[in-house]
Order: sequence, then structure tokens, then C-alpha cells
Amino acid sequence: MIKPLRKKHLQIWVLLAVLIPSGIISAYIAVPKEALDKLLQPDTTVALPIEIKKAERKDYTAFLRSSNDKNNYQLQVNVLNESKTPSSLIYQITKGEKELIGRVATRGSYYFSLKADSSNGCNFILYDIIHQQTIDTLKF
Amino acid sequence: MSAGYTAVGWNRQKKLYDWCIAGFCVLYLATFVLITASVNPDYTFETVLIRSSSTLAVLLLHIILSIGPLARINKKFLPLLYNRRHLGVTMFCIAAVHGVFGILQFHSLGNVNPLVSLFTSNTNFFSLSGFPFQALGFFALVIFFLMAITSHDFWLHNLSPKVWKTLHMFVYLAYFLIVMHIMLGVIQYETHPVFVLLVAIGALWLITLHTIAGRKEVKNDNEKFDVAKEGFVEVCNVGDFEEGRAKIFCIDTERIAVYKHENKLYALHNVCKHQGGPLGEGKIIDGCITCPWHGYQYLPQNGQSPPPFTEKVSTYDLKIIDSKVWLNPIPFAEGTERPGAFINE
Repeated sequence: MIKPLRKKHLQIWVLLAVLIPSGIISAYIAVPKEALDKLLQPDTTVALPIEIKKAERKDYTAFLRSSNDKNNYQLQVNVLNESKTPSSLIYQITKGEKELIGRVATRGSYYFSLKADSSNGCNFILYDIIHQQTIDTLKF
Repeated sequence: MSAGYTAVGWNRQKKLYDWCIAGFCVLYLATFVLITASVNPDYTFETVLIRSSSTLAVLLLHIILSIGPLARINKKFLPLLYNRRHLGVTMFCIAAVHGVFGILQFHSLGNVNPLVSLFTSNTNFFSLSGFPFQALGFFALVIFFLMAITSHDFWLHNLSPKVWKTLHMFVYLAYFLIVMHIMLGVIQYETHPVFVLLVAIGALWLITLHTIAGRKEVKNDNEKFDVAKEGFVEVCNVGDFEEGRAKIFCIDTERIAVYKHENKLYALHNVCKHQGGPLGEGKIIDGCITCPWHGYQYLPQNGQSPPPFTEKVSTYDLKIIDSKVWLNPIPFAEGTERPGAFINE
């Protein structure tokens, strides 16, 4: 290598020594905290007995369910057709707060436990994480 | 060397090098698939392929970027440099598998062209966690593609070494794009700290290696030669030389290699005409100075490649006075015959 090229190499790596750690730290700080301890797979496999509300769509049907004593609530999603998105996240919206409750993917039934105060009406958002866009909203 | 071009000039070392690369890649991919199949049998073929090819390409990229500084720090690593471009082309092919299957998996199921979808489906440019990381990987892949298709010596000669080297230095930009592709992509979803640690360790390793090698070169470049007489500079003692080997001196702006060969000292420009390899770090084989990078050869007395090859480097005058070696840093025209300095022992 000639001297100017050696100098350029060193200058580039000095620049990268600043840029790369900054990028890694910034990106790590930006990792969404709610995903840290949130199970993205359904946490139950059995439907609660009481169907409170139902929402029907072309590709899926959703049910808001509860236990007999109304202490436990559940969202059931039956995916009927293959979705155009490989997987979709479901967020529950309560008093303006968005909380990740799980993920649906291929055809099948998915069950997600909800907060105890879900009886007073609650909304859900289905979100395509790859294309970063809202697919649908459910209002119960 | 440039008497003519063949697709690839195979020799035993190249074949061995390529077999090692192929063996390592197959072993890695097989191990990845087997572990995934045993730990998580629900994964699809596409997912395993996307993940195994991505991790293998990143690993190979780290190895490729380590070879240059390792060879500058320790000559034992020079054999790895010999066919580094084969490793680079392999890395591009594996990265391309990751890119193609990634686009098929995530962008080909809609009614939009997958490449258009890649750039238009996510426009969160001002959000770190939601940044369109796939585009970063795409641009890095474009750089790797350009490097891979211009890796043959045909392009080195036709683009000129300056343009070729500039193009290939874009690998550092590609590396930065890859780091951010990982950090803004998979790290945002796979939150186990081991993934971040691996990326950070890889980056730290490369930054440290390149900085150490770079500083070592700067130190060599800044060596001062104070004693000068009639244009000659005193550089060292005649006893410092080993037969068939050289010492390198940086006087003013350029490095000069001084070789000892058959009881004489010869001085040539240190930079090989092929890819700028350090001629002074090579050795004399069959009477020719042989570049340690790719084996280009030059005759010590005139800096010319032996026929039929046509490469030439500058030569310099030197003399020996009272066991001290004196070097004139003003170069002669490339390929100029010089008598060398006879050693009285």
C-alpha cells in the first residue's frame, strides 16, 4: 500500500470506532421494552366458556371471552385463511395505552389472556411488524 | 501477472484454500440446521436458510476484514491474504442467498413488486426501533456484488488500481451498514443479550485490529533519518540484512525496500504494481523478489518482472561506507538497471 492509502485506512477505522459503537448502543437502547418479557405465542390453548362479543372478518373471526365468574378475560382469534403477512402482532388498547398481547400467524385458533378490567370494552390492533402498518382494528 | 487473462489461474494453494472455505461453509450450515431442527423443529426451511446464511455471511465478513490487519501485524497470516478475494466472493454468494430468500419470504406475498415493497413498505426513517433495516442490508449487498464482480485482475487493470482500490474500500461502509442492519433488525425482536454481545465483540475485534495495524504503519512511516550526505541518507548497518530478505525504509513520503541478494544490496520501490502489496515483506525466490500478497515477481537489479511479464517498479541508488548503508531516495525511472552495492565481508 502507498502512504496515502495507509492513512485513509486508519482514518476510516478511527471514524468507524466512533460510528459503530454509537450505532450499537443507540439501537440497543431503542429496543422496545414491552417485547422483553412478553410471550408472543398464545399463552393458553383452551377457550374460556362465555362468549361476550364477536367480530367477523373475511380472513379471521375474533371473540372476547370470559370465565363463568367474570374474573378472567380472553381474546380468541380464529385465522381462517392464510394471511398476506407472515405474522401479525396483536396489541390491546386500554385507556389510550398500547400493550402487546401476542402474535398470530398461520391458520388456526389463538387464545390470549387479557387484563381483568377488559369487561368495560376494549380495542385491539393487528399490526404487521414487517411492513410496519396496522392491518385491522377490533372494537368490542 | 498480466501477460494474459484466464478465468482463474488454479494452483495447489488456491485449490486447498477453496476446499477449506467450502468445507467450513458446509460444516457451518449443516451444524446450524441440525441444531435448529433439534431445538426448534417447527422452523420452516426458508427461516433456517435465511438465518443460517445471514450468520455465516457475517462470520465470513469478520474473517475477511481481519486478514488484512493480521497480516500486517504478523507475517504468519500472509497465506490467508493470498486468496482473500475467493473468500469475499463466497461471502457475497451466501449473503445473496440470505437477501433473496428474505425478500421472497417477507415481500413477495403482496401485490407490489418485492423490490418496490422492500423500499416502500416501511418508511419509518425517523424511528430507530422501526427503521427500515432491510434497505441497509440491500445496499450492503449491492456493494458486495460490485466487489465480487470486479474481483478478477481483469478489472483491476482495466479500472486502474486507484479506482479499483477505492471501490473495494467501500467494504467498510458495507460493514457499517451490516452492523446497523442487524442492530435495527433482528436485535429489535430477538432480545436475548447474547446477540448484541456477539455483534459488539465482532466490531470491537475489528476496530482494535485495524487500529493497532494502522498505528504500527504510522510509526514505521514516521521514522526519521537525520544523517544525509550528497543526497544519500544513512539508513542502517550492512549487518542488519538477512540473505534473500529486505528491510523497508520510509524516506519522505514513500517506502523503499532494500534487498540482500548474492552479496549485494538492491533498492526498489516497496509497492507492488498488482495490488500495492509490500514487496519488502516478501522474499527472493528463483532470483526474483516475490510479493507476499499474490506472488508477483521482480528482478532485484532493475525492478522488472521477468519476461513475458511487463510490470516494472522504480529502482534506487545505494552505497555502503564503513559498514553503513546509504540510500538515495530519488527514484530512477521504473525498470532502470542499477548495479547495487557490493558487500565487503
